[in-house]
Amino acid sequence: MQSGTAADRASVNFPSIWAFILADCFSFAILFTIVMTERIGQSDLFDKAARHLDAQLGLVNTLILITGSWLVALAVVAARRGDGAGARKWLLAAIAVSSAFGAIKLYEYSAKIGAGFTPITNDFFTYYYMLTGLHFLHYIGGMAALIALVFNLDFSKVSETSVLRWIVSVGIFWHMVDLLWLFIYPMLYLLPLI
Amino acid sequence: MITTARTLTITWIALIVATVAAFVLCEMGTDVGRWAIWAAMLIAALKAGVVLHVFMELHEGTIAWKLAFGVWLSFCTVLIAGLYYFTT
Repeated sequence: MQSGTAADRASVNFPSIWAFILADCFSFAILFTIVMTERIGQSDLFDKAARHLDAQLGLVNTLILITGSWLVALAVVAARRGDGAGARKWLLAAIAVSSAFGAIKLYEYSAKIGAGFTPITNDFFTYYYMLTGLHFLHYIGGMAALIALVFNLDFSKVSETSVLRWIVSVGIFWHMVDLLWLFIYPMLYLLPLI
Repeated sequence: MITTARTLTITWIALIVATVAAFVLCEMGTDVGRWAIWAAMLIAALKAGVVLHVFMELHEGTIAWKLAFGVWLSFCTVLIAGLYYFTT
């Protein structure tokens, strides 16, 4: 069993993963700035185009990502207790729940393209596909990392710092996928409704 | 402070409630007034802060990381809400 709080705390206090996450977050902040400044002067076009998006699907996807994040966080807690089987179970649950995000996003893309809304339709859809597409690539990377953890990590050695760090690092990356969507969702789907 | 499963579950429920609340607020459309832009983004910022501190365990990080993510979160919130509010 994992014991002592020092090891627990050490597991999140390694700068490399935080530097990577922070750099990625600020890269998205630049993209947000580009989208919002491009919207100036054509807010009517952006808001009318945004109303073609399905805010309810966006809501479901937000709830899926939040739930996936919760399940991954539970896996980290189980791993810290030295419960490798429990950690693996929570990660599998996270993969199962979060896979629905990908399915819904692909459905949404196909529905939009089927309705004639492509990246060249107007500036709004250019940025919609760019932002959500980049976020989707992060989602795929996160899913691949979660799947790799579940099938390649030796969960019987979950008390070892190196194994625990893998789970914590992938978990932090997965939470970032959730974190970025928490801004993308209101920006593209919700605020144009007001 | 070590994060417990109970803390995570309470956080998850709070995030779900906040997400649905923001959706309902924005679905009411123009009836609610433009203050709802700031309200919706404030909810998004609070949710992001909770994800950072509880799920990502930023509360265990150094003050420099907390400050850096605080700057990022504040910038994104003010940028999106401000430009929606003043250019719609």
